[in-house]
Amino acid sequence: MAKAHNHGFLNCGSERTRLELKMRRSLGMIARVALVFSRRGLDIAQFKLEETKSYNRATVILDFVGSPEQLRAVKADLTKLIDVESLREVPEASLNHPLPSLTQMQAALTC
Amino acid sequence: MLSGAQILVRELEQLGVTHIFGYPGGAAINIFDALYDSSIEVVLVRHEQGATHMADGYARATGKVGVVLVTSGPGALNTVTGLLTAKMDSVPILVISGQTNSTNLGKDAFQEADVFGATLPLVKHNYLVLDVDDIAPTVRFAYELASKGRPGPVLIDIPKDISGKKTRGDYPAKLVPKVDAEEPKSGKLTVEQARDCKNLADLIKQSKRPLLLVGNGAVIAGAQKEVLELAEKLRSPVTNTLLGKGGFPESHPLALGMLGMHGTAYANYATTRCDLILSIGSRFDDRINGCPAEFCPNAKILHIDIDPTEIGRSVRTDASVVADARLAVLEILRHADHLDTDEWLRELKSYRNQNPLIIDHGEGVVGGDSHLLRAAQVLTSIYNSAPRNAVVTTDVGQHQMWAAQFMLTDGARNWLSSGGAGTMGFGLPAAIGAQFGRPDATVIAIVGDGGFQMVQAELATAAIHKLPIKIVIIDNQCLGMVRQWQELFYQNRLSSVSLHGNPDFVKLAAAYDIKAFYVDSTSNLEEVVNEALSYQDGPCLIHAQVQNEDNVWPMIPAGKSANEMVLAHPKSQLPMPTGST
Repeated sequence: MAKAHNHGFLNCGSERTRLELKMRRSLGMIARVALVFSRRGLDIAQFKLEETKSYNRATVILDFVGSPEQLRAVKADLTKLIDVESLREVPEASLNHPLPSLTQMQAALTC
Repeated sequence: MLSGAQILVRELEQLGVTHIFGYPGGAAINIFDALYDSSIEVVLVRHEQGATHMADGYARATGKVGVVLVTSGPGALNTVTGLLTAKMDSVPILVISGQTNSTNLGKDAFQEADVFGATLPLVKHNYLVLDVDDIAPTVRFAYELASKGRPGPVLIDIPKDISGKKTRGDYPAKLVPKVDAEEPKSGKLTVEQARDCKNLADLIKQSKRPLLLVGNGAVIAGAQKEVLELAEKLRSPVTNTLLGKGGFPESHPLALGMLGMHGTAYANYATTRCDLILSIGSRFDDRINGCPAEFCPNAKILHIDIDPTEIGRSVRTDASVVADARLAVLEILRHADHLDTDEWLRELKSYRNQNPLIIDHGEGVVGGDSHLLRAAQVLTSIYNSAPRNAVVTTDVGQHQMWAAQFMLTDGARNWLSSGGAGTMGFGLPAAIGAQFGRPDATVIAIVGDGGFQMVQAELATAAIHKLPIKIVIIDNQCLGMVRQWQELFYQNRLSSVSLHGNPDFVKLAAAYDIKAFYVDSTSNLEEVVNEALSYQDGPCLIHAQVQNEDNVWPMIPAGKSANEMVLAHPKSQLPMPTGST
């Protein structure tokens, strides 16, 4: 996780986080993941769905900004989804590309 | 060759389904046609919301999965409130909805709605079946998923062309569970769970002022015997949530009754004084924990829950076990010792004697008339006359809280109330479902005049099937709980709470050929209650006209801690609560 540099309309203490979910492919799987965020008034800044070698599995990688409490809550609810097999936070240091700046994220969220 | 609809019905029969609560329509007509030849009894309701609450009541009263069948579009969307109700209270129901032909999906076809999308946030899981060969495994999977782990509602949306399509139908007759294990099916704890239980037991041994908190998880797990044994071994007082009623006998000397916003003063007091609280299947929601920072300020908080995401979600937790409540309590019992709680029990008894539950007499309320019948008097009379194992359902509001306070529940699955969602209109259809599930039980629906009118069409369902449910309308001619808030926190500016214009409920019942009684004083109350309880030729209704300015006490204003509990009508205006509801 990286500390936020610019709060803007985001919550004070917000942090940006990347999550990686290993999922069973099923109808509505993306909507289920998205709803975990939208029901809390959170938005997803980046979302990527990757195919895997298995035809019925997929990997979702997403970035969002929220407080530590919100992070804990979304992780809890994501793990309860029937289609989610595993979830992990991706450390920023392991990323090939840095997370987008909060300014970029805010621009994406408000446009 | 069987059609998709025939396969669906065959699978439901093999799963042991005996009742379906439903309402037909074009997109579900194939399935209703298949049911024509089935042993399953279809209960034709008068509104799809009623069907979901009936299935819900059936499930809560029996522990089995309640099944609903509706058509597409408005039919399916009328189940949304019922899905929320079941989701919030962890009730296993399976809703099957017909859908427009799969070739029409997305074309705004007649009675088409994105039911799959609309119900996503309200279910444990849902399916849109697009291949007839997926029907059988989906039904089996969904049925087991609804009741497994933490139960909840599951929806299956089936397009009409899929339910009508013929296929081989050579599926294995024996149910093959396909849900991944969420907890051991063997009825044994894992090594880690057993270790966590031992840890809890060690902490309990150090306690001088323990408190057991029994929630819905204990009821669902069937842990009554084990909880009773633990309480008596520890000699620990026990409180329960609204949905935990029946998880521990409320008439037991160690029982403090319900805690929370309208819980007993002594149960709330116990939370402020205990040095350890062990939650057995409660999620510490905002009804019992308006101010998390001040909840059980002097206590270690221990938590048993089958859902790992509930641990630490609402309150700090000092130790926990993620497991089935019955198995966890059983394991704790192995390590538990007697505790010296004499002083603690004496303290609580003294507080209880000074602060018993009271029937509000309207003092301080403009227009309050202490000579009129009070809701609590009606409920007390029913409680005193009804069998101890009667099933009680409620709507939501003041009458629900009075029923929770004055109608003690001693057995599990005998108290059916919408807790999390707070769904008005739940009581009558839930009672119908409960009576179908437990035909020999005395089933009593305690409803308000507001909630009852939302679902009163289901009187027909009860009458047609001659269900001997007792419907008690607590008629205060207003939306009492909202009125209470407006009186206490909004300078008595009563906005849109008067239900002036209520029908004559006795005549309404007569229109459905339902026996009915009217009571507005204590003089004939007992006589009416006894006559209604003994009536077995179908449903009967008691229209109880009660004082309309009574308030429910005690009350912890929303967002406040138990230390700020208001025991009786205040002399001055209360500050606006910081909590939402």
